[in-house]
This record gives sequence, structure tokens and C-alpha cells, in this order.
Amino acid sequence: MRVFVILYIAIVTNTISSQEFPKTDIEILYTKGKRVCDRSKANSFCKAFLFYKTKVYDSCYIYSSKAFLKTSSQEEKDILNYIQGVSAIEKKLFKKALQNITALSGHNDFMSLKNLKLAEINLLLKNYDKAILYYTAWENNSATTPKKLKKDAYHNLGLSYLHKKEYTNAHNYFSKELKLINSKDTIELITTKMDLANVYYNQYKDDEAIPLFTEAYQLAQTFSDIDLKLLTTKNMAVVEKNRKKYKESVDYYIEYGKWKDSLWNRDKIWELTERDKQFAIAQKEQKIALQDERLKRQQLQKNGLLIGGLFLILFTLLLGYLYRQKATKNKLITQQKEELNTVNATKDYLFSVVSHDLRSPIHTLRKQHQKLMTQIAQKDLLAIEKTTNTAITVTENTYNLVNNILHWSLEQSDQLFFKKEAYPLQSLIAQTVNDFKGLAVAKQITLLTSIDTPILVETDKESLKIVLRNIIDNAIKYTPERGTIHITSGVHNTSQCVIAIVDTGVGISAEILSKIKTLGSITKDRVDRSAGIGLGLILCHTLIKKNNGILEMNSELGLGTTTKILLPIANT
Amino acid sequence: MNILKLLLLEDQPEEASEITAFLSTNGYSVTPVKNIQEAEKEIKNHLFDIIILDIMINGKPDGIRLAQNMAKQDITIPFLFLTSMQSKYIFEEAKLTHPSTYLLKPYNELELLFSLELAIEAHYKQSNTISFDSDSAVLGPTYIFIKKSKSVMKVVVDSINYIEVKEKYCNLICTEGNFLIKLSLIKVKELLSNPIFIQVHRNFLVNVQKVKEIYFKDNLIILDSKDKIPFSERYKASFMKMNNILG
Repeated sequence: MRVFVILYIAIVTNTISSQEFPKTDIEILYTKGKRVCDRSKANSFCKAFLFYKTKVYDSCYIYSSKAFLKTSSQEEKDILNYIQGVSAIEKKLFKKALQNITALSGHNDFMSLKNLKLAEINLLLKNYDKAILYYTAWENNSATTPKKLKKDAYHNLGLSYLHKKEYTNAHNYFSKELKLINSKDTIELITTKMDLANVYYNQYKDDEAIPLFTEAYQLAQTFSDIDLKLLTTKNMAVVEKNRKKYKESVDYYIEYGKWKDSLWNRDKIWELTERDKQFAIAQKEQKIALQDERLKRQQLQKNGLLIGGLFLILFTLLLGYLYRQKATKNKLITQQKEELNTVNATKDYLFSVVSHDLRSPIHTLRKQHQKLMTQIAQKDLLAIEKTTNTAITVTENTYNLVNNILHWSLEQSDQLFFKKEAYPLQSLIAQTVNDFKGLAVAKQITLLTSIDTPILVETDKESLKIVLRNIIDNAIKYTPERGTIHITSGVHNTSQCVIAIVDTGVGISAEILSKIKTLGSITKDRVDRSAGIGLGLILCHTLIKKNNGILEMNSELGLGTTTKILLPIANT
Repeated sequence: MNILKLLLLEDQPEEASEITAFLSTNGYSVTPVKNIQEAEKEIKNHLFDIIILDIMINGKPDGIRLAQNMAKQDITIPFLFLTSMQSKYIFEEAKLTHPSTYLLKPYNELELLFSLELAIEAHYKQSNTISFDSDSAVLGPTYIFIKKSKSVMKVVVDSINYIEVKEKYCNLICTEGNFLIKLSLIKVKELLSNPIFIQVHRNFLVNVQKVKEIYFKDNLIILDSKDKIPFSERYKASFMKMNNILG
């Protein structure tokens, strides 16, 4: 039964421990590196060196390769070879490491480091003879090697001898290492003691080996490292078994088992922790997913709200539009209502005219006809003629009234055909006067027409005739027998012509005249019969206004009335 | 000088005879018809100078229909509507047939005569001429319409001696007298489009049938009526070419 041997190979790292010597190899290396970097400012070199110092070996390896391409100086190459070699060892690229370290120049500064590294690589490659060779070479020139490296080198050398089964040498070097180890560094102490014990044990020097094993075991007991406890306990168990102390061996095995369990527990706990961690991560991820989901939902909600808001705005706009539409409609309805009221007022007015003003003349006519019947029976021809004349006059007046009603209603309902054109004024006057000739003769009234110059008037001829007819009719009506009615026409100013109807009638009282004067501002919705003004005058005012003209009336009670109509002259 | 031939479409016999009597005494030759068929037959067989259409014939707006038919057949005779309806709607309907004017019932005699004048004026687009003053006339492609006391008479364009520019318009000199035509000389030439009228001067149009003598050297034309018309160089060449006169 062989004792388990710890193949602990100390790999030299760039740990600085520079208490003994002001300039160790590593310090020299650092100084050189810094200098090169300061001097050349070569980016790749500086980076590689920086990564080396901070133990980022991957990047160091890559940047040193780049730096090789740019450099030619031996010193820089040496530094790069060294740091790349160390990086290669760390990355277990031993062949590459061997190349790098071998390529180092034989310069003094690098001699011991070169030997050390070569020995280390050979040990790692299990070339123990070569390792021993290089280590021996190093030992002869190890003054500048830092203490830690030295200690690791002794350990490795001892290990090499152990492999070569040269126990004396192994013992020597392990002892040397033991001397260098700080008594507080328990791990190293235990390891080295075990190594030493192994050396003794392999030489069957049980008396020297067993105390060392025991010592290592006891030291490990005080120390927290379970791996060491496990190892020392197992070694003890094997040792006790080999010297047939089975009871103790079993005890150690039991203890070994206990440590193994605890190690397993530790691993398990670690695993559990790992699992916990994973679980926690999973939980976190779930939470994140949940959060994401929530965010998504919020986004969705936000979008929903936005769309909702938009719809609301649109809806409001629609409502507003509808409201406006309705308002417009309402306005239209109000307007139409007003119009309706006006039309209704007109209608009422016309009804009242029809019922009052038509009733009495027709009643008169009826009486005249009854009178005629008796007069015909009496064969009183003179009386018949007189009655008939009265009847004709009444009929004539009624006819005019009916005409006015018709025109008024047509005008009010905007149905009157109305077209302004240029017409010869005297012809229109003559045509109108023509109708009254008979009446004037019957009443022995002189009807004079004097036309100044031929004038073209801008008017709707039918409406002007209606006006003239009304005015001349009134004049005849209110002028006593043997009176005179003088109709003249002429130019008023550059844009207007005038028609004047002058009678020698009874005239109009100032009161009524003032009322007539306000007719100019009378609108169709202000028809008021109580004003005592007949439909004819209202119609005249309305139509003259429509023809862009002016109707004026002047009167003196008992002397007569003058009516003037101003109308625009047509442009030719 | 001839009286105008007038077609009257009127279904009321009383009114028809009244109008016929009145217009006959005022220098119109009236042909009264009672319905649209008769009217169309008359229009086909005779040349009328003017037509009076009552809109409502036997309760139907046949007056408007006749006007529409005439328009379809490209019969361009001045016509006027006679109606008692003053409603805007029937007017709108009637307006589409482009009547020369309207005459509203009841009307007096002066209004009837005035409307006939208006119709002729409107038809030849020479408004405010014969209805405005007795010195004016309406010029048509074959007749001149002139006012003779209360009525309108027509004179064949052949009787025109010459036409002279007077300010914006033209003076027409014929055997019957001088009349103002409210048209420019260019428009007059266009309207007449008659080879007997030839421009001899910027301001003169002469009826070649009335020319008595021409003095080329003196740039003078003497008419049968002894009127002297200036003959401008500008128009000589074309004048001689057209009349085969050798200079």
C-alpha cells in the first residue's frame, strides 16, 4: 500500500515579495517593462504588459503576439517572450511556452528566470531529469530570485527527486523549502511536512515518517481546510493500517469518512447554493418576465387609454359638430319661424283687407243692383244711369283693391316677376295714364301729362305701373270735380329722373302725412292697419324701394298733394 | 312701306276679336288662330313678322309649347307671351323659350302696341329705338321697322339709299326718310349681308341699285336721290371689281 502523494507544483507567478533584495528578477522585469513602455509608447506592448501585471493572461497572450510584430529590440523581445511564455504556461500551452522561454536571450537579467521557467515547464511535462537539470542550473545562480519563487522551486525540485525516487535529495530540498516557509503559513507547512513524511515513508523510515504524518494530521485538525484534513486523516489511516494498528486505522477511516461526508456536504451545500442561486435567478427571471408582462400590459393599457382618449376626442368633436349642426338647424328654424310669422302677418292683414275693404264695396254693389231693379221697374232711365255710374266707380275701386292684394301677396311671397331694364319713361307713363282717361273725363278732371325730354328709366316696368296706377287713382279719388291732375317727368340729377303727380285735391292731413313719411322704413313684418294707411301706399313704397327709387309725398290740406317718384336713369 | 303680318294665338273668341279689331285699326294684319295646330299650319304657310301667344290655351300651356316647337324648327320670328299669370314659376317656364317680351293681362291698348314694339326691338337686339323716339328704326336682314304714328311698319332694305355713320350709331337714308339705327356700321354690314350694299367710304354704305353716277377723279358718287357720297380710294378697287367697271 502506497501513501498518497500530493503532487503540488508551485507555479511561479508575478507576486512581488521584495523584502530581502532591493532588486529581484521580477522587479527588474517590471522596471524594464515600464521603461520600454514609457519610451516607445508602443500600444500593444504596454497593453500586453499591463495585462501581464494584472494577471489577465488571455489578453496578455494576444497583445504580446501583436507586439511581436512591431518590435525589433532584443530587450523588448525578451520581455515579450517572458510574459507570453508565462501566459502560455497559465493557459497550459506548454510547447508554446517552451518556445518562448527558450527564445530568451542569455542575458544575465533573465538567466535565472529562464532556468526556473524551463525547469517548471519540464516538470509540468513530466520530464523530471530535465527539470532537475534546469533547477540545478538555477540554484547555482539564485541570488536574485525572490523568496517565494525560491521556496516554490525547492518544492518542485524536491517533487522531481521524489518522482525519481531519489529520496535523499528529495528530503534535502523539502527540508530547504520547510526552512523558507513562514510558520504561520499552515497550508504550506502541512503540505511540505506531508511531502517530507512521504519521502521517509517511501524509504520505510517509519520512525521518522510517522511523527511527521501525525504532526501534519494535528496541524490539519487546527486548520479549517477540509481537503487537508481529509488527506492527513486518510494518510494516518493508511499508515496505522500498514503498521497493523487496525483499531486506530478504523478510527481514522471513520474520521476520514466523516470529513469526506463534510466535504461532500460542503460540495452539496455549494451545489445547493448553486441550485438556490439558479432557483433565485430563475425566480428573478420569472419576476423580470412578470415585470415585462406587466410593462407590456401597462403599455397595452396606455395604448388602450390613448386610443380611448382619441375616440373620446373624436366623439366630442362629432358631438360638437352635431351640436353645431343642430344649432344651425335651430337658427334656420328660428329664421323660418320669423319668416312664417311675417307671412302669417301678411296673410292676416290680407284677410282683414279682404273681409273689411272688400265687404263694404260689394255690399254697396249689391244695394246698387237692388236699386237698379226698382229703377228699371220704374223705367227711370236717368236714375238708372246714375246708379250704374256709381256701380262702375265702386267696381273700379274694388278692382284696384283686388289688384293691389294680388300684387302685395305676390311680392310678399317673392313670387312677383321682377326684372329691371331700361324703358322709355314717357311711354310707361302714357300707358298708365291711358287707363284713367275715361275716369277723369267722367269726373271732369283735367289730366295733363307733360313730358320733359325722352328719358330711359331703369326699372321693372310692371311694378312701376302698379305704383303709378295707385297714385293716379288716389289723386283722382281725392280731387273734386273740375280739378286738375298734372303729371310731369324730367331729369332730377345726373343719375335720377323724377315723376311728379300734382293734384288740386283735398290734401292729406299733417298727421297722416307724417305717418306716410315713416312708411319708408316700414318693413313687411310691421304692417299695422291702425296706421290708417291703405294697402296701396304700402305697396307703392315697397315696390319703389325695390326699384332703387324714392317715393315722396307733400301736401297742404285743401290745396292738393304732390307725389314725387325718383328713379335711376338707365345707362346707355 | 308695308304693314306687319301678325299671328295671334288666343282661345278666347271675345278677346281674340277685340285684339284683332284693335290691331287692325292700328296698322297690323292680324291672323287669329284658336289652337296650336292651326298656329303651326299658319306659320308653315305664311311669313309672319310677329306672333302673340296666349300662354294658356284650353287650360294647357300650349303657348309655351308652340314657342318650344318653333325653337326646334329654327323659326326665328319675334314672339311675345300674353298672360294673366304673374306668378314667378310660370314665368320661369316661359323664360326658357326666350320670348321677346311679355304682356300681362289686363292690358290697355297702349301697352299692347308698346309690347309689340318691344318685341321687335328685343328680337333684333336694338332696344329703346322705335319705342323710344320716332326717329329711330329697327334694322332686320330684309326689312327696316319704323314707327308710323302708333304702329310699326316695315320697309324693304332695297329702298335704302345709303347708310352713314353717325357717332356711335348709323343714319339710314331711304325714300321714306332718315332713321337712326342703334348699331355700328360694322354690325349693320354684318346684319344686311346683302351684295347690293357696298362700302364706299369708312363712314358710308351705299345701295348700288341707287347709284346714278360715279366720279372717280372727284371721289364722288351721286345717287338717284341726288345725294352725294364720298368715294374713298381704299374701297375703289373692290368696288370696280365687283361691278365690272373698267377704270
